Amino acid sequence: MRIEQQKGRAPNGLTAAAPQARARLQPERPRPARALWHFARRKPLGAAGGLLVLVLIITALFADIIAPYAYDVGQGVERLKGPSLRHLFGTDNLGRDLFSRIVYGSRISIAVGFGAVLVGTGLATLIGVVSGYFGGAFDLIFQRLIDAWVAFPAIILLACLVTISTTRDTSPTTSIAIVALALGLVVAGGSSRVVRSAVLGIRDMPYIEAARCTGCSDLRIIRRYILPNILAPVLILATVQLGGAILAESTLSFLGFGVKPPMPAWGSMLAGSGRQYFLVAPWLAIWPGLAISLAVFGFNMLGDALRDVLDPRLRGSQRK
Amino acid sequence: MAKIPTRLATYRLTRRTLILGSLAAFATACGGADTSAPPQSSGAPQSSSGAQASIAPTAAPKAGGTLIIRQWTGDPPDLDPFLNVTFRAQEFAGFFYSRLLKFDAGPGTQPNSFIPAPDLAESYQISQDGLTYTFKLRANAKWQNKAPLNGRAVTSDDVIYSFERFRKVSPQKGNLDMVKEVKAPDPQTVVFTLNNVFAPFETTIASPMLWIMPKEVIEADGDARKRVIGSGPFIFDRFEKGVQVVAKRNPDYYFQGTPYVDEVALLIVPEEATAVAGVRAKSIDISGLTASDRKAVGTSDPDIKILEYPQNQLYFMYWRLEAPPFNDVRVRQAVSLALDRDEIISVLWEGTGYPNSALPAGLRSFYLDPRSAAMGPNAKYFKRDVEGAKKLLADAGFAGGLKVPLIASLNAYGNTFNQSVELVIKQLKDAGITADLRPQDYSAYISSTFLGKFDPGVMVWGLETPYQEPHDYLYNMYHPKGGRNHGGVNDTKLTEMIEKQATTLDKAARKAQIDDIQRYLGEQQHYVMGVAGNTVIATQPWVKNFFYETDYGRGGEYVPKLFLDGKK
Amino acid sequence: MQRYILRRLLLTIPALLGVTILVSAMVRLLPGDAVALMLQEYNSYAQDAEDLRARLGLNKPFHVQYLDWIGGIARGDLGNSLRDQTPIRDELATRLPVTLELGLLGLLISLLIAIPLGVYSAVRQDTISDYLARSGAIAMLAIPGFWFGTLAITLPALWFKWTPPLRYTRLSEDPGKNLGQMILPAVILGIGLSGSLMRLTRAQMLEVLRQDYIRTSRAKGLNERATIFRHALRNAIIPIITLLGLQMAVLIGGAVVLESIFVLPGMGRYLLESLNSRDYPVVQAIVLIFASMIIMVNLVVDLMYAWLDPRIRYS
Repeated sequence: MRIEQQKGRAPNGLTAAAPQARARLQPERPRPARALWHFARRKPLGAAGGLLVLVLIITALFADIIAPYAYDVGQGVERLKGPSLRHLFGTDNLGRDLFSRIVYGSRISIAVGFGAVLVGTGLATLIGVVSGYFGGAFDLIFQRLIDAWVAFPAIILLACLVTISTTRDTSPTTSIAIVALALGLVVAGGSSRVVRSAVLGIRDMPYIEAARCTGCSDLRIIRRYILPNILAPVLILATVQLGGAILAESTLSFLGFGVKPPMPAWGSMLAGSGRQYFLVAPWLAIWPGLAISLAVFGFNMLGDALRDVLDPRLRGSQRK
Repeated sequence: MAKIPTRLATYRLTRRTLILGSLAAFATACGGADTSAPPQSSGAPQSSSGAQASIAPTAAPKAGGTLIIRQWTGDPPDLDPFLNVTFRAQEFAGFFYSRLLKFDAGPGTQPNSFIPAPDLAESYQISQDGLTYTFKLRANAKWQNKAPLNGRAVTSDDVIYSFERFRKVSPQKGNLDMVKEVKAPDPQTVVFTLNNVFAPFETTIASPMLWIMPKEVIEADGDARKRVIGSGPFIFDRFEKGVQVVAKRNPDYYFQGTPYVDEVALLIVPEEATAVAGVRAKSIDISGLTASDRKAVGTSDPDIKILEYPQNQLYFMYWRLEAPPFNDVRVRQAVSLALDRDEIISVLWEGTGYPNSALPAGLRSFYLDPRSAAMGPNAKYFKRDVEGAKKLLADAGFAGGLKVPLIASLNAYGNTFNQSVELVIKQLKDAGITADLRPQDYSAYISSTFLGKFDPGVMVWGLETPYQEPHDYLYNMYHPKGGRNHGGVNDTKLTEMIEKQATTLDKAARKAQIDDIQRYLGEQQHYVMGVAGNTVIATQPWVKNFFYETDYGRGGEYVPKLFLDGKK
Repeated sequence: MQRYILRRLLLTIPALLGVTILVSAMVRLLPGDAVALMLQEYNSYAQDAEDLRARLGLNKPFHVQYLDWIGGIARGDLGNSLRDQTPIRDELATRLPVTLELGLLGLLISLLIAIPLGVYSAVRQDTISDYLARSGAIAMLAIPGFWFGTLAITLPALWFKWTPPLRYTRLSEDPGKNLGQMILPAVILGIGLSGSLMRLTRAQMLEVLRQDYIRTSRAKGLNERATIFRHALRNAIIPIITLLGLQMAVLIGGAVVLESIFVLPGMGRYLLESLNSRDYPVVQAIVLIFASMIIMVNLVVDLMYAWLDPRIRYS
């Protein structure tokens, strides 16, 4: 039980050191532009990741403007055409413009990714903070719950949630929301442990003690002191989960539990027509595959770089 | 008629059987007709000798070897074919158990011909009134040599036992409701008496359903799940779950000399990509392919032999007919006009496909091409006409278009079906019909929607169970008492037509009646029919005498006849 | 220590009860049931369906069904499959080793990739090699396993007319043949796992390399290799093991996919098939086994934690 670790040492290097990081970062924060430049210089991979994420978000926001065609309308005679000026990425087996589908697909990936993180990280933070901060009976109960949660095979949870929900309401939004919710629920259990150990790491810090002595309420302490100080691990967790959710969506599609057609989810494009036609029309697999990989790559690189920057123990660690 | 001797010759039967078999078929053809011509007893031997010359096997069969078939995507759910009706349980049974009749598979017989042929019964006769079917069992039919059967003879008691068990436990028991009684006057004779004349009775008996089951095993174990002992061509060896079913040649099989192969491995391969790889790597001898894989394999591996024939499969749209908007024939016709069947053919089937009439093209002896001249004026409902569709909708009061939920099960039928859903939604949209897709989980679908339990005003896009008989399609789907009357069809004229063909023993007359039904349905559009493609079977070059048939019992039909020549 | 282990073991019981209750409830919430799928379109004979449900005990109230089942478990009886009444125990006895072998091989391969790469990347922090190694790791993480699997089965067949054997050979029958079939999916599984492991290894190494005792050992003139492997890695390995515990779920998900593509008769495929055929007791039994395994692994991880890190003592 990690609660019994001495000195609240976190099991994972990215967590316990966070409060100091925050404390050190705050006073000397440079102007945003310079900070960005500095970040890009020192962490080129992270910057590249950030750029990818930015492109992804912009694509998703302006999909209507960027995409030359609708994602669900194609002509049979146009099917399986290779990339050309008319169809930048070629067309799929139903004659639909692949570029437009990839562009619209970014919305689904973003929605699934952020949705999953909202649920996953949100729930993880809530449980982690309550469990870690209050300790005692709360902690004991929550941790037993988490034991069961972590032990529940994700695939069952995902399949059941998606199947049960699609028989009720099946608007495209619901279908995306359910996939996101399911993925979020899956990761929340394990992640709450990371948050909890971060909280354990700072719970007994002098400044928290001081706040408690001055009569601050628990809620205020959590809001004012705990939450800001665990922001770093939570942020890192979120970026990693984002990539993971996008990837998991594709596996769900492969298993037949994905977002419903004709929604152009990258995962279902790769798992469906991509796999079926990739010898005849390789672009059907290449583009969605590349899109998934780049998105996952982007979020993970950004997360890595954030960790390096926000964690002081890693910050100065270059060998001189 | 010429086909019957063809098939028998392959089985090296006696001349006596030949004549009997042909006569039986003849009796079927003439029995019900009032103006029956005198039996041309000379006709049978003539046609048989003529056929025998032309159907010599392509090469002298070689015995031995292991045949590897990619049979399933998942395990057979049950080894007792009476307790589970899914195709996997029936396909499993086909290798090990006999039927009284089976479907012919042989040179000159196209897949999907579904011609009843002798199996355990070496011959059968139909009474003049068409009510009594007398089957003569083979004298050399024996149970496989395993305890507790130990190779004893198969007798008429076994048939009666199996029939009674089928009536008691099989979910399909309703399919034999027309049987009044079954009797065994002697150990080699079984007599079925029917309640009423039923033209497709031979097909019903031949269809993979009434397997002859081992009495001793079932009495001891309660079912046939633990021990698989039949009188069929193969002896059950083992079932490695998730991998394969292995079967050994039955040396005592009543079609002497067959099967030629020593062993058959029925592989369970869930993924298409894996099966295609297995075909390319020559580690699978026989496997089905999708249309797109067929194209790819055809280019990359020209030595692989491909068998293609029209699918026995109905893709179709259904709805409840008692409520708006689909109680209006114009709305139904509009849906049919909105479908672009040519686009479906090119997109789903790589250019080779067949619009379904009320029957699929796969049922080749009865199918009427709905766009051909034979369809008559109603052929127009099977050609795309977006403006016509809009006009019909407007006439029906939906000038502003129609917005309808569309149910489809997306987790059972595979990629091709799922793509057909997307395509149909798109095509309907062109004609102002907005279909809002509601995917339904397969188990919910098959036990509710498919049985007609769904909301009025909803469209459903689905697949029909494949049958070997037009009667099964027509009666089940369109007769008020039919088991698959998804939409609640209750059309007096149609009901009469369906009932009439079932009692018409004259084959030509019956075919004409079934044509009429297809023409009538072309206008009524109770269900709007889609398009089926080709079934594609890939075989390695060393698989010889490959005469395929497609029913679930095909394991006992084509596998015993094929042999391997040059397999490493 | 012994008391601690005992207490942890006792605490797994409520966790497992929770998991089984939840999964039992969830599978029953799924639309349709085993009977509907056994009868398929012949479900119209309503009486048959009800008789069958009664025979299989599916018409009993949920809590009765659950108590019957868990009572069987307490007596060591995993129950029978609803579909064909075969004992689930027999089925699991053949399937569990397949998934275990795949999982362990995958784990081994991921460690073989991740640890050296992570150490190397940390030692060369912020150099081109570091970037390449990390990009590679994430690229591997960013390719869905089913896609890797599809390529791995399709391309060799196209180019070299070769596939891994499609008829599974048990390890006990012919280890060489078995390994030949297992190695491709295991590598794919390992690659999928190695991405996050490599990154964690790197992060841990960076942290440890800054510690005073590393400086001391360097100052003592111990050679670099010994410093890294004897001192740094040993201390960095603890969180890596924790992550391994959490990766169990990923492993199972990967097994479901890869067992399908590479035709391995393992638990993952069985789970999915049973879920699709609504074979409740099978799903429950598999989930129980997976859950117990995950809990045990996490317990072992926690214990190793204490063993590797002398600062931690369990009371």
